[in-house]
Amino acid sequence: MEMSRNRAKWALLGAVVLAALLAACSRGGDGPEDAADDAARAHLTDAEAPSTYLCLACHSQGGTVSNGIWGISRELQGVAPDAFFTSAHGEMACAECHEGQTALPHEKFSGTGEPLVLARDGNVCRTCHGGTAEHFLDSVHGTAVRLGDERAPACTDCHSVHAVQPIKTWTASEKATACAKCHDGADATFAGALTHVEPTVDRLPVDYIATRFFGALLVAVVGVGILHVELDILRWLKEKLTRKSREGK
Amino acid sequence: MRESTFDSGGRAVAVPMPRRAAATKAEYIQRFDAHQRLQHFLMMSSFIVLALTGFPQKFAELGISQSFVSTMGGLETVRAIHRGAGFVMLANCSYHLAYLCNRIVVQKRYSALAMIPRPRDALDAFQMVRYFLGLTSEKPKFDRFSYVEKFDYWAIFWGIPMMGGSGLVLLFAAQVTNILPGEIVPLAHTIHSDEALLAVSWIAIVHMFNAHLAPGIFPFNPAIFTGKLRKDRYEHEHPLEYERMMARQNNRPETARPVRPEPTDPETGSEGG
Repeated sequence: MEMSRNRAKWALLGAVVLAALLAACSRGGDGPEDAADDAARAHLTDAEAPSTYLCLACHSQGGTVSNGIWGISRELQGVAPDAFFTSAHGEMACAECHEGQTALPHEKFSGTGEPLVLARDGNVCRTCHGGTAEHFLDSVHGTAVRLGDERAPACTDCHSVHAVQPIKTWTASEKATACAKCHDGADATFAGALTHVEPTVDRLPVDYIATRFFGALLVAVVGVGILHVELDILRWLKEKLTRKSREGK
Repeated sequence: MRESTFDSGGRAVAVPMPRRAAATKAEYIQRFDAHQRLQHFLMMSSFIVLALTGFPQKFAELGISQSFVSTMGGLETVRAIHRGAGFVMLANCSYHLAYLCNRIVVQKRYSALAMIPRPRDALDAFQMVRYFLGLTSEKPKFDRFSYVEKFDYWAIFWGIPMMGGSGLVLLFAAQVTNILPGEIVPLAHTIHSDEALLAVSWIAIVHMFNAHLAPGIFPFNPAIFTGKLRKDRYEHEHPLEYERMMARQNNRPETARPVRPEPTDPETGSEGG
């Protein structure tokens, strides 16, 4: 009941802001110095981060074309409210991920018509999912991200943008569907082993053993090889010094 | 031009010689045939390309990796080159196995069997360590292949299935997991990454030192590229095989033309290459 009242309150506030925005858009190209925009910006400061409902006042209308404050025509990023509120991030405010997007016009929007996206390297996700993001960056996918591959998958390419669900709740076929977006023929078996955590005895035991085995093999083989090289050089040095001292006498 | 002779400890000592005199005096023994040299060249060149295109992916967090990939035209280009070099290496291994089969089964020439490890190799390694530590003044006498050369060779027989197999799994991951469990993909990634570090470390440090930089060999051993090794160095580096070749040559006076004996099979004494 309390939640419904809150939603209604924010929806009303959102509608008011939306009306102000539409008015600004209709004037198109007045520039950020325009008094109405200043008023909107002053209203939406970081100190009063807008709630999800306020953002949804505009962004629930996916595909709405806005001329924006600079008169640049673009489509708003659509967010389905129901899907978002029932997602794993449903309790979070938009600005927790979309940092800096608390003022109007959105300061981080480039104004070039490019859609506003989260950083591909998982920097935003890392704030909460630190270990997972690190492991992701060490993976084949993360390597592509780090090396600037245009096809590299960002976190949101597999986990969806605004309808993300806890991975534990994913069915095998949902995982396979996510993988098959890029990997033709990927099935549940393919997706089954994908994880963003270090292998352990319980999770991916064969990979865990292989990691330890190859680490030990590297140290043992290269260690013995380097020792062999060093002994060879030392013996040669010793002979050289002995010969020199003999010649000196 | 420098000519080698040997000190009392069996070490090669470089002695300056007049260029013309050295050119006329140097005699060579054929050590590797054209197939073996080509196989080594293909292995070496594909290995270098694989390392150059693979390590930036393994250490993607480094700025130098990102610059290299960017200079090469992007990750997709680098991966295409990497895969191409991988297939060259796998084809080269198939070439080597076919070459061995032809030589041993069809031609009945058994010199390649000298690469098989024998108990004597362990004794040679033990004596070499004693020599390094100054416990003996005599280095072990090697046959056609020393224990170090055998280790290099068999390390590739271990490394190719590891690297090639895991590389193919990563390349055809979706198809492979239609047959094998999904765990094979992260396992292949671990093997490919870790074995690569092992292989590059070994080749860059140990193989390069033993083949080219070791005392008595420095700065370069051309045998695997030209196929020939100077007679005095052959005698120094592979004395047992050298003695066998000379004994056979002495028993066949009709072959007393410029010395170019074919290496022999150490077990049977039959002719090889």
